[in-house]
Amino acid sequence: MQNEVRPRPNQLGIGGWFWGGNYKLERYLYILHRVTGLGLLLFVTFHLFETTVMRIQGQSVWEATMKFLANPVFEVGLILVALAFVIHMLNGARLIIQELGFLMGKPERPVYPYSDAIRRKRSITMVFIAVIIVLIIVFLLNRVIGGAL
Amino acid sequence: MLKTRMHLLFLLSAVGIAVFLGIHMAVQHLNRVLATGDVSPTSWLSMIGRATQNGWVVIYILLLVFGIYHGLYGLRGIIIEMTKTDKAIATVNWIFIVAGIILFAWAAYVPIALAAR
Amino acid sequence: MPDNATSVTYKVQRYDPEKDSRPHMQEFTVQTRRGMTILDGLIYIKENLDSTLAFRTSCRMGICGSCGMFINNYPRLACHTQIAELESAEITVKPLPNSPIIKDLAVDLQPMFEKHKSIKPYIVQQNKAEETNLTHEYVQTPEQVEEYEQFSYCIKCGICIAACPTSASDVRFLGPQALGQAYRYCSDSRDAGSSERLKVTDSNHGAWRCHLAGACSESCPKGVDPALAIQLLKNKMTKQALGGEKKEKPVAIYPEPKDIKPKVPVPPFTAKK
Repeated sequence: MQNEVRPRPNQLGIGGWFWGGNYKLERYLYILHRVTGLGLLLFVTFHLFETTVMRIQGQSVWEATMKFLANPVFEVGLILVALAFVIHMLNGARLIIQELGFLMGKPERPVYPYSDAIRRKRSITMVFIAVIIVLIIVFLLNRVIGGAL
Repeated sequence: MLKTRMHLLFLLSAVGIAVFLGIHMAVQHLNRVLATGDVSPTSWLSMIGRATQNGWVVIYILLLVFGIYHGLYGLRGIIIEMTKTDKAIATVNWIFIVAGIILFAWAAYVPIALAAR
Repeated sequence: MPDNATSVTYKVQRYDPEKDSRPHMQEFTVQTRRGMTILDGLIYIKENLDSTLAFRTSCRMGICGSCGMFINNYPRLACHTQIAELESAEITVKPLPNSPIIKDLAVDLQPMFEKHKSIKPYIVQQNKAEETNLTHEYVQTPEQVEEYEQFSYCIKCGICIAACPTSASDVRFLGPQALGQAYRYCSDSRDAGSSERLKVTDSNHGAWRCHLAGACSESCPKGVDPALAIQLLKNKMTKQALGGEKKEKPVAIYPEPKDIKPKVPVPPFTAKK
């Protein structure tokens, strides 16, 4: 009598979100979107704490908080948050358009070598990446010319 | 079609955040480049000035609603992709609903209280 | 020895559930000739070097979907991949990720088939009586066929599931294969089962857990483009959630012909017996 053998689980797990093979750009835009989203969520938690608990206690506490946050570590963190915001917003806009099927074109009979709709519409992705780069430059420019960030 | 409607609200809140956070960014974090005239937007005076204007309070509260929904729904999606049982998902749903309501209530109270002062 | 003879090293993942506690890699040296596929190499290994190597193969021409494997860090059909195409002296062959391993390179595709079944992969008849007693023929225009034709080329190889990042962590995710096929049937003008299928895809582990990584379409060996199918499915689900789609014209039904002209008699044979 043959023993029943249970197949061995073979999931890539959460590591599979980051790398599962040598795939193209869009699979990595997905994980970048996820990482920036989580980063922004973390920031929003701290920011809500700062603007509620700290703000409601009055001017002296607020100004002490601003002084504490003038630390270079927090400044770098804030730049990263601004970058994360730009990337997440614009990639999100691209996802809203493409996920709801707009501008994706029609199904095409597969003729070798095969192409897929996401690659055929790569130009849309590139437009959004270009806007991301421009906005990052604008944010950094604002920091460089002495503005708040 | 409940899950689809929740997801559409998620996308709508994304657009809402883009608009209101865009305004927030333009005024407070792009002040030099866009020359909005406010030299120090994080100073107490500037901040209190905004806190007392009803328009800003409305913008902040709307941003809060959209932000909380979008953030918690996104996090819920990530957690669902890691869970195996329906019971775990139901627990997560309830935790997020309660946390979202408490967070909104507290964070909406502050700007209204500051405006009233 | 034929011309262009070189040899490559195959690094194959081995796992015998009755002997091994975990998978491990084993190396083989295989002489190659021009036009040799990865599958040819595996068959050579099985016939000459180690007959205990287990893998699936059938048509050896890229149509049955049996030989999906993770070859040099990319999911491919072993019969459809030339050794020369990989341009490497080392060929690493592992079983497809995200499906349980039975032995060596053979994975359990039953979860994929269960998910495929759950989305009702068949034409749901408009008229229930037709299910048991077919009396009419459906007619489709070429445009109506083109709406779903690309997605009907799926060979159920499991490569798209191996590529999908959501399938990597979520065992209950329907997967690009099932979701793509759900759209293939929903967009078929002969089908009347959209609302039942959309209930299945509108779940916590349904279409909305797809995040457009696009790896499924990129790696599909038949160019089925499941990513496009899923995004079009989301479009359909959105329209339904917002108040229902426009009622489509009923599919042309070709009734049993009543006025058949009498058959032309066969002329007598001219060739004499």
